[in-house]
Amino acid sequence: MTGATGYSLFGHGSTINSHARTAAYSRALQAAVRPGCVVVDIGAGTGFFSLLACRFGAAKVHAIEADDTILVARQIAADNGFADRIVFHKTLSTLLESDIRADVLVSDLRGVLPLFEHHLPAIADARKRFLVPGGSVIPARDRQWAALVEAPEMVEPYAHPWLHNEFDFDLTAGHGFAVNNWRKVSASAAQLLTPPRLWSTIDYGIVDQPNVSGDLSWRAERAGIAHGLLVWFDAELAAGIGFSNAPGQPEQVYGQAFFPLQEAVALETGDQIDVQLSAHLVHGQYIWRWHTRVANAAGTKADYRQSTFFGMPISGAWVKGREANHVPVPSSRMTIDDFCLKQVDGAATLEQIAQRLATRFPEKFHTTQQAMEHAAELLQRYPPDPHQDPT
Amino acid sequence: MNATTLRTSPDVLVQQIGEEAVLLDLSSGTYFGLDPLGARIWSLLADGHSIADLTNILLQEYDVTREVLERDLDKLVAELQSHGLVRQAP
Repeated sequence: MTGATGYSLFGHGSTINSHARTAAYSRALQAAVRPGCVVVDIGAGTGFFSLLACRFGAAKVHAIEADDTILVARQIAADNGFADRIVFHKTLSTLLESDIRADVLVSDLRGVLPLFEHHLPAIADARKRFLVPGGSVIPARDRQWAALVEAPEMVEPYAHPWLHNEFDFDLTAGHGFAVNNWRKVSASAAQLLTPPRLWSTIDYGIVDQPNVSGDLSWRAERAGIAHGLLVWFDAELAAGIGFSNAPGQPEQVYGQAFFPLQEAVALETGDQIDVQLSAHLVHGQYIWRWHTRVANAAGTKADYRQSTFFGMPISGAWVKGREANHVPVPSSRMTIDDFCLKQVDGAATLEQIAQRLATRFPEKFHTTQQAMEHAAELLQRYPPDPHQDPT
Repeated sequence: MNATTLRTSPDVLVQQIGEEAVLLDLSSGTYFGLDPLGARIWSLLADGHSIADLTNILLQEYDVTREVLERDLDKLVAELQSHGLVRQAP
């Protein structure tokens, strides 16, 4: 679970501490790495997989990491005597222009689930551009499972403060948004109200597009209160090597995703439950939809159409700013930023740019330091092109 | 206006806040904003009303002439169709 998405160094440590996961990755790398081979480690983080690949005999490892964590990875590589075998690339793998030909591609770009930000497109891109025919992809595949759960404590954050709170305010307007958000949980096997069903399989050797949808059905085998849908994944890193995040298994860093039902449903034995679950990658974030229907001979007990799209209010003004016929109007902020960008000539220092900025816009910047902070923040949005990056 | 019925795309999600609506077309990742009239039209289309039905309903709800309404409706429907958000029901 690494990548240029704001993982802290502490978070990287937690993933390494996730024992079943890390031990399985180690075994998978040991099985795939042959002496002298080339490995690509995507979203390398602290470079832990790169170290393992070196230990198992890789001649060269390309560790790709856009985050500043790569600074620590570099030190760790040196501390372990692998500095001469690991080549670090401080960029996103999808932006890396390189003629790398790798025998093994290893990564863990998942979140709670494999459907996380640009994970799947990044793997597909690296596989096509960097992996030799017949090369190994670790993980090989993830299977995503789902089951209904009876778990009142999991829905409490959706009810409180929206439906009840100790201040006696009416906050119910927020409830409709809240129940369209999923969250990470740690469920026990006893909380499963239905048997797990396989929702989807992601085969990293062939995956080519990021969207996933699938139907789930159950005939209730016992009565209980259905509070939501639990989704998790089991990983197959290589043949016979993997780990599970199923409730009841040793807890890993991923946990499970809990998708609440709009309202809890009292299930009776024999009830028919149908769920359409889909995830679409839109501008780097997954939009989830879960349409849940519960019915029996007496009729429909529940028919809930939920989506993370309904989980946050979106203003018409925000949308208008993205429409093709929107006409942006000049602003003073644009003038300042335009001036600042035009000072970049490959020779002027940040301080010199800031001085010019403060002189030109004294009403905005009272000190050079203020101008420097503004310029630094603006210019860091435009990192050097990968081939110019000395790191 | 006629008895044509348009079907809203199953790939479109709609969030209604107040009288306005925001559409997200999952197939293209594009957002669209609808003003109160547009939001009402979308809602009626989603409920399966024909263009003719919809026109009569809106004439009762809004203080507008048939001519103006039909022109606005034509324009909106053409835009929705051009983006694949609705298509003619078989």
